[in-house]
Amino acid sequence: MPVATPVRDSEVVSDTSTDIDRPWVVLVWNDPINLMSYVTYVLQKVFGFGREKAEILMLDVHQKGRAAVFTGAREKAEMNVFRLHEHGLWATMQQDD
Amino acid sequence: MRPRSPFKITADGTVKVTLAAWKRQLLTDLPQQLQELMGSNSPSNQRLFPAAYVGDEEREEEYQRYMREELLASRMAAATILSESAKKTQITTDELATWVNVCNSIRLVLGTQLDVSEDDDPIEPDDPNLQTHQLYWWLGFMVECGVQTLSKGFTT
Repeated sequence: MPVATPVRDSEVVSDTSTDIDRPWVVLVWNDPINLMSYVTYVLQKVFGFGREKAEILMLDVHQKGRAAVFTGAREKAEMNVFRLHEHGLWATMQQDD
Repeated sequence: MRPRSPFKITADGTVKVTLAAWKRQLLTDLPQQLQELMGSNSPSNQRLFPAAYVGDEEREEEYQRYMREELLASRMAAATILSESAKKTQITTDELATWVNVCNSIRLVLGTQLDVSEDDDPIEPDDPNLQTHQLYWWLGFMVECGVQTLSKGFTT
């Protein structure tokens, strides 16, 4: 029986949760092996992006060295990183600052 | 001039594959070699199992503990699908997606071994790695053709 549910002060909650609430960003990095058309295709397949959006992100990866392809909760970011790895893309995740 | 694509979408939505027998043999054998390599600790594997968290050892360790096995299992299963369907003349688009995935994985290994970069000079005919470069190029062609065929299925 949950008799001892802690009642947290709202101020305390917002203080301690800032770190948890900061969204995670999934980055795809440029690499010399994956073909540009393949990167576009994977972004369409994994995220359901339209071709135009996927191409803009792919060009960011190619020209700027990396692109943020997802922002959100940690679990979802991990799942997306996994799917990108599964397709051979060089993806990492980090917390937004 | 580029050779013609080996993949053609047919009226029933499956993919007709036109490839010489020796190329089908390559697509049968290479995935098996990939599986052997993935079972080892070869440095050529590094692009197949990248880090998720950079600069956060604790989270990275935890991530790898849970996900590496799953990634390996997924790659092993995909390699089996290509190896076992390489001689079919008619495949589904799902199978083609797996062909593309595995051809790309093999490219990642070969590209790592060849240490390719974006501004590499053209390969000379007397290059000791000429055959590997040719294989790398051909797998790229397969990926490119597969992606072209599969992209027709995306709605936008």
